[in-house]
Amino acid sequence: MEWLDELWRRLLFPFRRRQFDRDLEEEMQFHLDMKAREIGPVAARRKFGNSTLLQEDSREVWGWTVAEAWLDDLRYAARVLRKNPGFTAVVVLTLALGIGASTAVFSVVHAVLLRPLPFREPNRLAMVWETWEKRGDDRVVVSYDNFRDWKEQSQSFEYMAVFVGDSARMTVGDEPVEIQASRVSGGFFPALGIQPMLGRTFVPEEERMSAPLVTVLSYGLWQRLGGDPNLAGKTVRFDREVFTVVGIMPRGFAFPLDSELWFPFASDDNRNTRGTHYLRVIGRLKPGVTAVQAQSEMQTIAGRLKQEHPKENGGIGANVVPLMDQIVGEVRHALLALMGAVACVLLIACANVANLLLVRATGRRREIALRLALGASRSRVVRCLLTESVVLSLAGGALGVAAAYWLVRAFVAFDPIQLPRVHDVVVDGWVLLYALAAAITTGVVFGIVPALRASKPDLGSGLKEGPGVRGAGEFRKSRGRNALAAAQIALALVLVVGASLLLRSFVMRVSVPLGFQPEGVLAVELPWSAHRRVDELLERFRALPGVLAAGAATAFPQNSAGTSCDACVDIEDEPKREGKQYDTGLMVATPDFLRAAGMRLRQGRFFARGDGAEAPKVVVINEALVRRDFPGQDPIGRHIRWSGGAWSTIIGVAGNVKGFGVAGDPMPSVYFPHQQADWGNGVQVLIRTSVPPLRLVGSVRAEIRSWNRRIVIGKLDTLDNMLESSVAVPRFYLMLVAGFAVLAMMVSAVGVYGTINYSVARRTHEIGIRMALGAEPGDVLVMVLGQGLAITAAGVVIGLAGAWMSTRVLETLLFGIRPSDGVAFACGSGVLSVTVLLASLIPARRATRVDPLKALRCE
Amino acid sequence: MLILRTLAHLGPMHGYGVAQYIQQISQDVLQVEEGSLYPALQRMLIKGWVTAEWGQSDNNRRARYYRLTPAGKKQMNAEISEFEKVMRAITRVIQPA
Repeated sequence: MEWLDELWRRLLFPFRRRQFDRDLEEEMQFHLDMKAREIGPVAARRKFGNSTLLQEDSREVWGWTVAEAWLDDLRYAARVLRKNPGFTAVVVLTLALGIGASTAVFSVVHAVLLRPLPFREPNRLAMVWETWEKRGDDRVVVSYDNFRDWKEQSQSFEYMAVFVGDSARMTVGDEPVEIQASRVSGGFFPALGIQPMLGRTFVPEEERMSAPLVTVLSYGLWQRLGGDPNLAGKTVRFDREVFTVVGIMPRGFAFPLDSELWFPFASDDNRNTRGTHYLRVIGRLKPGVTAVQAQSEMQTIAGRLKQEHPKENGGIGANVVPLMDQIVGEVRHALLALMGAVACVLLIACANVANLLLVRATGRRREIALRLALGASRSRVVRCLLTESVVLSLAGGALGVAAAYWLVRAFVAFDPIQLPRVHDVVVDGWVLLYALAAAITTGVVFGIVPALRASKPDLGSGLKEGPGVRGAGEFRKSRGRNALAAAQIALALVLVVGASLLLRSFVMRVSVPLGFQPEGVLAVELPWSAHRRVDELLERFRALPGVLAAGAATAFPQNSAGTSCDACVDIEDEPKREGKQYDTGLMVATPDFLRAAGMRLRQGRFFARGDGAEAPKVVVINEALVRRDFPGQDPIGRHIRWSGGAWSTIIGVAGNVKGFGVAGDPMPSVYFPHQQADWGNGVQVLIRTSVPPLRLVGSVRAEIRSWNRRIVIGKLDTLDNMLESSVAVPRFYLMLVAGFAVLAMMVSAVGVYGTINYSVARRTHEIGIRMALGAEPGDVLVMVLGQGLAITAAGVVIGLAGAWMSTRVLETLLFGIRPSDGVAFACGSGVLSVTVLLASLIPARRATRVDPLKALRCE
Repeated sequence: MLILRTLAHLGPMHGYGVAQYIQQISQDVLQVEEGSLYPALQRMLIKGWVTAEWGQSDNNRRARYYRLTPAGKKQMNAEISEFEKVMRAITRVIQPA
């Protein structure tokens, strides 16, 4: 307990400070007086010693001196910074940029990559996929029989369950909407470790085709349905069917994707064979079992299944992927690249501020020398200067966090890159902690070198110097500043090269020849059920004023392979083939589709009305398929079939079609007439118009409604806009990195400008002498520019090396070029060098205008 | 220890008095430096071995009197017995056998 009392007395001390000082002083005075009586005042004082020092020593016993000194430093720093508003504003803004940008990106990285998934012990969750060795695919959906065998034979999983996407239709107001749903098997909810908030989840008897219809609702859907706390056990109506609600999930649960409804997965569905692959498998690993261990066990089981079922399971393995990797997978690289980019920006900002501080510290030499002379220890001076820089960086950090807060809000609202887990992105405690750490670290990083330099105990010269000017050797003396400027250029170059790579890749992406004409086309996405009476609907569209053509297909032209399949196409009189190079796209289209899309016909004819269900079976293929399967032959009149169906005669060859950003060659594809083929997953309608297509949106919507009141209209937009949005992601990365690069370039140009400007100012005297001795303005220009050139050259060389090492993180974001693309490197360094040299031209020109008389006289 | 002992002997006393007393009793062998006296007194205040209050000195001036607390007395006894132990040990070592 004694130490507690002691702590209490210590804590009280700061509040009794003034009293303490008074008491101590009086006490010592008393002591002195008494002593003086004894041996005389002078001797007493001599014996007593330095009473201020004695007071300080006594005070130090209480252990608050360090904190008090900090407080003094803080007060002093605030005063100094207030006295230099221009300097303070520049530094704070620079830092706010750097810290704000990095905080914003960090909050995204934190939410997406670092925060655990919102399930119980999420690191035990994993997806299990089939691998198809022949095709080199490692994440293929699973067939039911394989899943059942996996589940029965494996020991690594506590639970294993399947789920598959589904949807339900519900009418909200007048407009029918589609709700994301999932069919899930028994272990699904236990595997995720989630309990319903109300009611229960499914029981085994409900996992039958013949079982009564039951469903589990998400919290959000339950709210939209009125939020009745007794809803469990009651019925709701979706589509034309009535379901009994058995349970309601807690708020925030939405898995997979944005599911709002769950139905039981019927294990006796007739699709549940070994050969139909359509399920996703999730499992919870047993405690202590790693994904790697589970993987090796699953591989063994898959090997056994291969031997037992050589026909269906030949070449099929298993692949265990931790859920976090599955969800975050591809964006990880992109986000890390962005984090690297903002780190560069922050470092450049630091370098710039350090440079400013160096310049300022030189101006404060006298002040610092005076402090040292009066007995301040070097560490005390360093601490004082560091306090100043940390105060600066904290101010910058505060401003940066405010900026980041708005940036993040905007980012989440627009979600430009369809990021997984984007709704978890917030500026929270962790992010604030990051910003604080970033601010303090930057404060120390950019402050330490100038502080150490400034406090070098070199008393004599510092005090003697006065505001005078020094001459030659300035370049050598300013080595630190030059190095900082070069470092800025190097970092900026990394960013500029990265941005040029993304820019070039973007240009290549959008300059891919499309093979169709997206201008003046309105595109509508309808569900599969629309196919039955699609001709009727297309007739209605054609009757609208301003419509030139209306056609429909199973996919928009930019998604050239609506469905693809590797061993599906047989050619008459040729052996069956298998393998990835035989992947073939399938599209089902109405006769007018070719014209509506603006695709070209190379040979023969496209479908006509006559190609009905009873007419001879016909098919159109594309150029890529001709090149692959009929090289040097005339394909017209040959027969092919799809998946063992009836043989169809090839009647025409259509031009290749490609979407933006689809790497590689166009996929060989087959077009079937809609009357002769099963349709597919959806109906995509294209309406080519002679008027601006958006003007027809209202009447198109009205036509669809009067044709079928209950149908759900998916996307309804111009084809142009849809294409645009297909490059939204790469464009976003490009804009972001380009923004950072421009920022970095400007900041480092200012840095170089500042450095050279300062050295010109310091060398005015020297330049004056040179000019007085006959140097031409040109010579001076060359001399000053030489300094800029040296800095730039050093920065560019280091920067190129850095860029060469770091741009490979961009690999997954690039399209059509390699990360070491020479053009991008050359352009990047060119642009940056010119900018920086232009920046150093301004002080160089000023140097040529030095008036030798003035320069020498002002000494 | 010396300060504590002095306070125990004299009762409440001011810093100057403590220094004087130690010097007199030890017949000028022990000189208490002011440089260590006041910080030492502060340390004792923190530890709670002494308390301080203002009072009148012999010549009617305000002076700060330090008073030994029970905790201080305990500390003093502990230190004295420790010191005596060491002292005895040293005596034994330096005494001719």
